[in-house]
Amino acid sequence: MSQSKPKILVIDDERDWADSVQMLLQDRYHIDIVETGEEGLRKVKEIDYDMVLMDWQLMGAKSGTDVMVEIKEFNKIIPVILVSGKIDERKPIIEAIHKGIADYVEKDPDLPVELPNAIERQLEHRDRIVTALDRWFRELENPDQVLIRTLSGKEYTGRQIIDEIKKDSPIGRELREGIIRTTLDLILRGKVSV
Amino acid sequence: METKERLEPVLEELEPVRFRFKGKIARLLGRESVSNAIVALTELVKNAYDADATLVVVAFEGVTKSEGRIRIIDNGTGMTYEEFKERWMVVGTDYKERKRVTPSGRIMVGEKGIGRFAVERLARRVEIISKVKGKDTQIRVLIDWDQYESEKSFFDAIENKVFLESKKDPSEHGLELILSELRDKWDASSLQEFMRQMNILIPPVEFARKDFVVEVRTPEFPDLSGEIQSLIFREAFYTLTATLESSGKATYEVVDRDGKRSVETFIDTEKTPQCGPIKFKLYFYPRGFAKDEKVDYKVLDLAEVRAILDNFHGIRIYRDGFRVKPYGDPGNDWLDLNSKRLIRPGRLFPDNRQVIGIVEIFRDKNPDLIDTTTREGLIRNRAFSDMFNFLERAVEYLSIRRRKDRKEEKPPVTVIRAQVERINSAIKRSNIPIPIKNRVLLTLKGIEESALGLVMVYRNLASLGITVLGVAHEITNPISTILNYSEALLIMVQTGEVDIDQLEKAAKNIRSNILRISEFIDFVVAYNRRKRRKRLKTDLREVLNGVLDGYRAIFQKRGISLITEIDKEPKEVFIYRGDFESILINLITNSLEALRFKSGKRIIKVSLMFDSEAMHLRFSDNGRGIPIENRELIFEPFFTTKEDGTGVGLKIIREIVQEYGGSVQVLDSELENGATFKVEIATRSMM
Repeated sequence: MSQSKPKILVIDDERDWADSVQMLLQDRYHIDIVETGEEGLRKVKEIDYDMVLMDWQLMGAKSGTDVMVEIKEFNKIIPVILVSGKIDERKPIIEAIHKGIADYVEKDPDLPVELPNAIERQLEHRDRIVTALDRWFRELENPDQVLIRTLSGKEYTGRQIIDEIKKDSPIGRELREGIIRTTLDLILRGKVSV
Repeated sequence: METKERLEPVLEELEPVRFRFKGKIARLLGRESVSNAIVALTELVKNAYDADATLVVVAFEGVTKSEGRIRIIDNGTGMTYEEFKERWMVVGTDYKERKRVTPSGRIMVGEKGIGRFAVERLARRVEIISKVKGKDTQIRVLIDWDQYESEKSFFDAIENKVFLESKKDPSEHGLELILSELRDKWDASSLQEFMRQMNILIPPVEFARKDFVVEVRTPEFPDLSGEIQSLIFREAFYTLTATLESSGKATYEVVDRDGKRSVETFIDTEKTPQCGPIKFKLYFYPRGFAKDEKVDYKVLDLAEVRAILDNFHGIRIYRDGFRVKPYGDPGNDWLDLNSKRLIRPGRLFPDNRQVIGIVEIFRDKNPDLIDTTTREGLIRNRAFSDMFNFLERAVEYLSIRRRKDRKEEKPPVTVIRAQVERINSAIKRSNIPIPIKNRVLLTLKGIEESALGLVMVYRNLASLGITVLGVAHEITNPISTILNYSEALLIMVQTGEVDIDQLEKAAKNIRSNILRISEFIDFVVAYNRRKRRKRLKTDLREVLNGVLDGYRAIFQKRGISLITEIDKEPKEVFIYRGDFESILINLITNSLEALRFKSGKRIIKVSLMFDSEAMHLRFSDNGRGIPIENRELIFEPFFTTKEDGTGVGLKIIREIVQEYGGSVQVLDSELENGATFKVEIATRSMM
């Protein structure tokens, strides 16, 4: 598996279509494909994707909206790009935007050009602090090492810190802010250099 | 070298010298610095604006002949004798510079100190009547600019008479300027130009009280008389009208400059909004931000539109016709449009400075939108956030429409052919091995075939009277798949890195998707051929089963359960088989559309029954349903506008049914929600 390529999960029951996207994008991104929302959710929880690309009309019990909301509950910051069959699907697009999709593209003749653009735009707008933390925690020799211990005695490993931050939970927000504050403090006091 | 300063002894200090102005300085500052009469008059109205006037009347009297009169009457704060003396009469007062915001919160627009010379520019004589609220006296000042023309007189030595007069109504306030012996004649076109200049001052307001009105009175040009209306609304590239009903039903409508309209309705079934009913209008104006943006307005020019927007951009809330501050103050981007624009690049989200928005609320209809105790806006409660969401969605809708309009409509066939061309020429230039080249060329042939097939599909669908959009989903995916593979192929050829496995895979998948398209073509063509031959003895039950069989795979794929209820007795009628098929196909297409975004169980129920009189066909789905008010309209061609995709299909049904003297109606669905179409045709009409 290539370490440096951003990882994208495609959720689309049109397997042929998803395969074609994989071939189109595989030079730049690592692509995984699943066909149902349930599988998509499982994958998102298991692997740390940089982005999700999903069809809004999913087969199976869960609707696109449901899946999207659940993904966001688990990871607030992951950009989700909606792929829609028709440009005229405005209503679902507006709904999807409100549920938190980052962008949408249509399966129209411009897609081979527009999709890579849309993906790049989102990757450029990633929260760089979270991305950097993520990478740093991943490179730790001992991933189970406790990095932060709160006043109330709660302990967090790197992985747990990142998970909380991604969930955008109250503790996640506190941790994020705390890390930034501490880092700035160290920089200002000349303890670390940038 | 000697550089020593030489100081001569002082004998006596003389009286110091001062600059003095001859009266003619007035002419220099007035006529010769204020470029024209329109600018001068505009400046005087701006002064009224800066004096917090809400109404300015500009009366032109006999202005087409020489020495006419213009009266400018405002209801601003007016000036006391002292204020007049210290402020108006002192040249170079920086009063406006120090205080750029008026007591009522307006940003001042007048150029400082220009007003009095604008008066000089316009007329040889002026009479100024100034009234201050609460006083029972007023002052009247007379200025005769001719006095200033004299060679002898000095500017500050010339006296202008002032009279103190009694005032009938102490509550009256404002300034009246009576300019007589005008220096210019005014005609219709100069009046119109003046009115156009006023656009920068007139707040673009609808369904609310304006806080600044300019009224023109001119007996010579009765057509131009009356309140000056802002031209800015007519210049909008897009006008969004959104309404939220207390039930939670939201309607968004966007009309562009050419009148092209699109509408969308939402019903939030989960919760009713706490904010109550809301009306929202948003006008969008490109400012020429992007280099490739072509911006030309109809009457105003781009610079004028920008100036108006600088004054009035943003989204204002009006309650019972009065503004709720600070929403929509200059720079107050409370809907966060700008940050949304930034984090969603490419989405064509409008900038706060590109829009004029008006939100209408009422104290009695929107009781939960409450002022904060400091009167600085509304409390951020649930009602507020419901309103916010509604407005935000409306703006989203506008940006989706803009994005769609930006997109060229490219028929897939053309795109596929262009792509084949591109790969072909890339191959010629490439130095990849010959066998691989041949393999690529073979694949290209397949792609071209699919393009041909598509031409057929569109032609056949058109002749069958089925709207392309209604079924396009069946070919959208294969087309998109083919295009993705061909793009990947192009990249491979261009980079010269053709992986033979990848090539095989692309070729195989392109083939299978061409097959998918042609299967669909066959299905369509088969129906097309059977259409319109002869009225034949037909068992409608068999036709129904045939059509449903054709769709079984699609139903299955989309998770739709089909329930049928078909008369057990055979009933033979004489009809054109194609007619009945067309009715059924259009009903199915319509239901597929209605079920597309249905989550949970999707159902289509078809019932075909006969009694002694007639055939009864009931076709139901549990999709999004059709609101009562639209149940007649949907049979009009293009009612839903093309965007909705239902297009002309339902009209075709009605046409066919009417040919047989039958009827078609929409009812509440027999299922828990959705719609039921009831088709009835008398048996004797089918003989």
